[in-house]
Amino acid sequence: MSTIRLGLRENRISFAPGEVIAGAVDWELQAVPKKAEVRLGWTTVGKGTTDSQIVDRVVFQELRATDLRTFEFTAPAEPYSFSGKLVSLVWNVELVLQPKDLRERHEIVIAPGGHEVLLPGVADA
Amino acid sequence: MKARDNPFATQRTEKLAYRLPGGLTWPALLERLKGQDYCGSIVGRHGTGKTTLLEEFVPHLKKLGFEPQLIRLKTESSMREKEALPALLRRIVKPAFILLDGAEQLSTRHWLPVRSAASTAAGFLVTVHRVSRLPTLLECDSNPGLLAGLVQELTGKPFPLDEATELVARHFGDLRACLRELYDEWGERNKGKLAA
Repeated sequence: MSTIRLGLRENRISFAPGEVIAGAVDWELQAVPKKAEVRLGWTTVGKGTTDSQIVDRVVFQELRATDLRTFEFTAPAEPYSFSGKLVSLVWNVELVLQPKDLRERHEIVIAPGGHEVLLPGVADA
Repeated sequence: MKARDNPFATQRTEKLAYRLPGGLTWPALLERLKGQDYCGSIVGRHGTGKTTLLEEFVPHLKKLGFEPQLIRLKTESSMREKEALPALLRRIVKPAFILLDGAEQLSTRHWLPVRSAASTAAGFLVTVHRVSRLPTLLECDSNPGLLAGLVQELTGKPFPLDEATELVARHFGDLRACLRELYDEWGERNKGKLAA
């Protein structure tokens, strides 16, 4: 039985560009993972094809089967988290452990004031 | 409604698993493929799940010791890409297993060298629109019950069979097109929720 967890400091889920995104991860596995990293990235969600990008990562060294690590990113200046009817851009912080590709992901908001930008429909604009 | 909250967002519909028809199981399907000397085609119209099924072969083939290599041909694939395919396939040798999506994009002139080049691989499985080229492994089909089941999986709510029937008929059985229409409809039904 494997356990992996990811937590953000003060359980924050929204950030303004330039703010620090800090947190901790821990795991309890049967064997020592070959690779462990936390990724900061975004993905689009909506009607069309999906686009995504990893913009930063923290790679952990000297891994153990049971481990606890901390990480820190700076929220990038762009793109902002946004949502319209056809597409949303969603930021996330994700712990990835290899070789079994174990993942734990938290969605976050990165936008001015920590508020997702809402795009009105054309008729409503 | 925000795109990210729409249950019919591509990210969610692409995660739907292929539903094997009529009590068919993965071990039985793999046995059938073995019986065809690991050579066959998945046949079906647009939006009936051929690509989804082909992709689901990857982990199963890995478990059998093969090294599956997925190659995609699309409507927009250039003549140059099609002509370069035999050279690419000749480099794929056992235990590599070729999964070719969109083989119907190849004319007979292009298909014959591709078929010959694929013979060095451990297996060759393709998707096509009509029975042809390689022995049929499975014919993919769609029906209103299948659409209703997929919609229920996405939304957590039952989907009326008469609506599913009408939708499937309007899109000539293309379930992907049905789900795209439902994306818009779901957004309209929950219009006020974008600003919430």
